[in-house]
Formats: sequence, C-alpha cells, structure tokens
Amino acid sequence: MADGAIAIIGRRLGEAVAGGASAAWWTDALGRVADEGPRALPELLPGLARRLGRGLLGGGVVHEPAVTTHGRAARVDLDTWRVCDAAGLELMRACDADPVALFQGGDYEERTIVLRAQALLPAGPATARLFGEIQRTNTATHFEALACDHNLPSRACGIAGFGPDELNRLVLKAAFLDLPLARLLGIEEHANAELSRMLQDLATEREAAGRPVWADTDRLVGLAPAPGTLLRLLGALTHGDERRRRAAAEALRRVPRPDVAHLIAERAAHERADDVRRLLDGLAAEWGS
Amino acid sequence: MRIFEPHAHMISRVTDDYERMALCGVRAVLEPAFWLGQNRTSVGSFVDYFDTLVGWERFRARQWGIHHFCTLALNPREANEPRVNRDVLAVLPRFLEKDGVVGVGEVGLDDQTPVEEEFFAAQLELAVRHALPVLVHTPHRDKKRGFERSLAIVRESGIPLEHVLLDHGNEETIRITRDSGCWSGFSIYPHTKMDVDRMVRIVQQYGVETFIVNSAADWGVSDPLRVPRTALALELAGVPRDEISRLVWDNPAGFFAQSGRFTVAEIERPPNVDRRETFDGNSVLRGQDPGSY
Ligand SMILES: [Zn+2]
Repeated sequence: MADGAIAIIGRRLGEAVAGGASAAWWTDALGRVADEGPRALPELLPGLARRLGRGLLGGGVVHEPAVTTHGRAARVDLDTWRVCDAAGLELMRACDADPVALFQGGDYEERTIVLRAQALLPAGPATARLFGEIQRTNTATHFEALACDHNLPSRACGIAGFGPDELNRLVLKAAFLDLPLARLLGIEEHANAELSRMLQDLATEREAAGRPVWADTDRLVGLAPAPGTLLRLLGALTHGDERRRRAAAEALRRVPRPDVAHLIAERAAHERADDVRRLLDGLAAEWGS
Repeated sequence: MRIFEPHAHMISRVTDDYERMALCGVRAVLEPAFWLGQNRTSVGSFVDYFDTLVGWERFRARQWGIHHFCTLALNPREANEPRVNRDVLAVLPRFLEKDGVVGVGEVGLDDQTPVEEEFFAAQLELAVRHALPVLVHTPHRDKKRGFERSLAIVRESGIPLEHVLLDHGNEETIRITRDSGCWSGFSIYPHTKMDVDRMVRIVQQYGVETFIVNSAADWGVSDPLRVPRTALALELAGVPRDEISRLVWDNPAGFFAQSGRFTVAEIERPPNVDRRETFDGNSVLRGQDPGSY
C-alpha cells in the first residue's frame, strides 16, 4: 500500500532537516515535546520558519486514511506544504496541544502553521472554533491555510459547531476572496440551494458595483440550482469570456429544462468555441427530444 | 547615508514619522518594549503590546521600506508593579522566540529598588537562555551609581559582555562602559539625556568604537530624526563619512545581528512591500488608492 500523507510528510521533513544547520535544534525540540508535552510548543513554534525554512515539500494531492471524519479520509495537496508546516504538524501530533491557544498566541507565521496542520489532525471542537476565527480574519494566508488545498472543510462538515450553514459561509468567503473552487477539495459534494442563492446574490452585488464575479460561481450553482440559477446560466452563455460560457454550458447539463431547449439551440448557432458549441448542441438535442 | 535607529518607541509615533525617517535615510528601526507613560494593570495589556511590536508595527514600518525589529522585556518601572511583574516574566519566553525579536530590553534599573534588581537579573538569565543581546535602560537619577550597580548585575549573570548595550549614557559613563566591554548607547533627546553638540564632542574625543546613538523617541517631547540630525552635525564638524556610517549603521546593525535573527546583508535590501497588503484586514492607507500614493 502507498504511504499516507503523514508518512510522506515525515520523510520529506527528515530529508530537509538532516545535515542542515538546525538538525540538532530539531532533535532537541522533539525531545522537549516528549519531556514537557504541549507546554513546550509556544516556545518552539515561533522558530520553525526561521530555523527550518519555508521550502516547499511538493508531492501533489495525497490521502491519509488514518485521519478520517464521517467516513471521509483526509486529503492534502503537498505542493502547498512547507518544511516549517511539516515540522509544526509533527510537533502537534507528538503531544495533545490545544490548537486554539496556539493560534491565539501565535504570530503570523505560527498561525499559518497551526491552521495548515489541522488538515491532518482529527476534527473536533477546536476545528470548529478555528473555522470561526478564519471566518473573521481578513488575512488571506490564514484563511487559505485552514480552508484550501485540502479537504478539511468538506471532511469536517457535520461536526458540532461546523454544519452546512458554517460551510456555506466559508465557501462564500472563499468566493469573496476569489480563491478557485478547485482549491477547496471535495466541496462540490456539499453544493446546496442555499449556497447557490448566496453565491448568486454575491454575483449580483459585484455586477452592480462593476467588479469581477467569482469565476466558479456558475460551476457551483449549477450543482444545486436555486431560483434564478437557470436565468443566470442562460445569460452567461453570451458572456464575452469563453471560459465563463464553457462553465455555464457545463453547469446547464445538471439543470435539465426541456422548456428552454429552443433557447439553447438558438445560442449554439452563434457559439464560436467548438467544444462549447458541441456541449450546447448536445443539450438542445437531448432536451428537445 | 543608511541609518539604523536603535531605540525608538514607534507605537507612540504617527505614520508620517516613518515616512520622514525613511526620507532621512532610516532603513531599520529597533523598538524596545518600555513603559507607556502609566502603569498597566494586567498582563493582558503587555501581551497585546508585545503582539503589536511583533505584528502591526512591523507591518507599518515595512510600508516605508523600513525593517522593524524589537526587544521585549518587563521594564524596570513596572518591575515594581506587583499586579503584573511575575505574569509578564512568565509570558516572555514564548515571545522571545518570535520573528523580529532581536533582544531582551529595556531591562535595568530605574529607581534602583531591590525588586528592580530581582527582575533585571531574571531577565538577563532569559537573554542567556534565548541567546539574545540585551538593551539596558540606565537610571536618569543617581546615574553613575546606577551604572556601576547595573554592571555588577550584568557581570554576575554570566552573559557575554559584548551582548550588552548600556543605554542613555553620558560623558560620565563612557569610561566605565568601555572598560567593561559592553556597548554604549547615547540617547539624543531634547532637553534631557544627550544633545547633538555634546555627542559631536564625544565622537571627536573618543571615536565611534562600540558607540551607538539613538533618538529614544517616544510619547514625550522627542524627535525621531535625532539620529539623522546627529549624523549631519558630525559631518559638518569634519568627522569622516565612513566613521559616521559605522556609528549610525554598522554598530547598531552589528550589535543586534548578534541575535542570529537577521544578517546585516539581509537588511541592506528593503523589506518586501505590497501596498495593497493588509494586516488583519487593516491597511495604513485609509481608503486611498495604493497606486496613487
Ligand atoms: Zn526607551
């Protein structure tokens, strides 16, 4: 069986630290956590980035079957993990630390490390509390560390204090910060009509202000249509940006509405992008028959 | 000329001061933790103050291309405050490991009480444990005796003497400090402490070896441009530019680089500045277009 994420991270961390200027310090740090437990962490976390560096681990998206919530195994994108993040995870796994206290007492870099580590730690009340913290912050790095490039929000949804409502607000904030949907691993399975309504309202607000709309709006609302979704998607078929038209055409596949087949056919005749036109022709034929 | 301002309480200065300092050549600022003009009543106020020095103040300085560092400590005045002194000592270890913290200070004696001595010694021990230099505030009253007493406590702690900066020095304390192996700080501060003309005479007589000049600018009648003004006065008095540069850049940068938390080469380049960036959602710009600045 292939190694899980935690084993890979541990191995990469070992390689990165071995022989370096901070190898002895790191050994000492692990010893301190073994002796003193969580009390040692507030003095060790601040030095991780400075001492061990911020080099990227790499390795793409990997699973961790040992960390599971509601039957969903943890998944993380190691391309976004740094050596100091790996070290933070190792220290937090070595003792029963309170991540909320570490977050509150941490500086910018410590907070990033504590938040990213949650992706590979069991989800519980502290996770819910941290989601509340990043929902209030405007430091995009901290929001990304807890919400992006892993499936923690998707995996944790349903624990006490972090239900569908909280998840919806988190996705809305990701949209607000213009973070790509693809970085919120597993979120598509949580699409729901209330979230679609929220995203559509945000889009309308942005359009009124002449500001760009979150590029993944149509993709996500198409998965769980709400009142107005059909009109938004039909409208997007004439958008000047080919990617927006493609996303709308793909989203429409999940909103079967034979009553508008003739509108789709009409638009298909004017579509310049071949693949989008094929999608629309397919829809018109399917719905019209 | 590139200037390292090694003692300025920027928390009590307006954002315009950073700009004026940058225009005068200041490229790095060291902000020591001190008293805020009145005693704090709980450790929480210290925690928030320390968080500001490692967070928001660094961010603010960076907007003007200035590297911001700090030293953290329980100051001698509030060492006498039983509502906070022990609790502050307890939170210091985790703060002393944070990025941007390059020393322990201001510690030392003020009213020269036994309890000040106790907390001075305890914090020297912390400096040794975290391998950090120490910024020592020296008393404004009974200065010479306070200097000697401070030196005795420093020697007893076992800290390397080249890691110790005895600040707020004057003509009376130069010899004792030089002979000890510690560094001498001179605060060029309006009406009290040291003034520009006296500083010029001191440099002419003693040179710049192990000397550091600062403005000690704070919430009082003070001037964050006192170091550039001193540099100019030295130049007009005929002191060679490379001597002046040693005094206002190499010496302070070298002293605090002993922390191992930055290198002098690193701070010769400006910090990364992105004017659209915010700190906790807070920008130093108030609705202004960052591009139009
Ligand atoms: Zn001061």
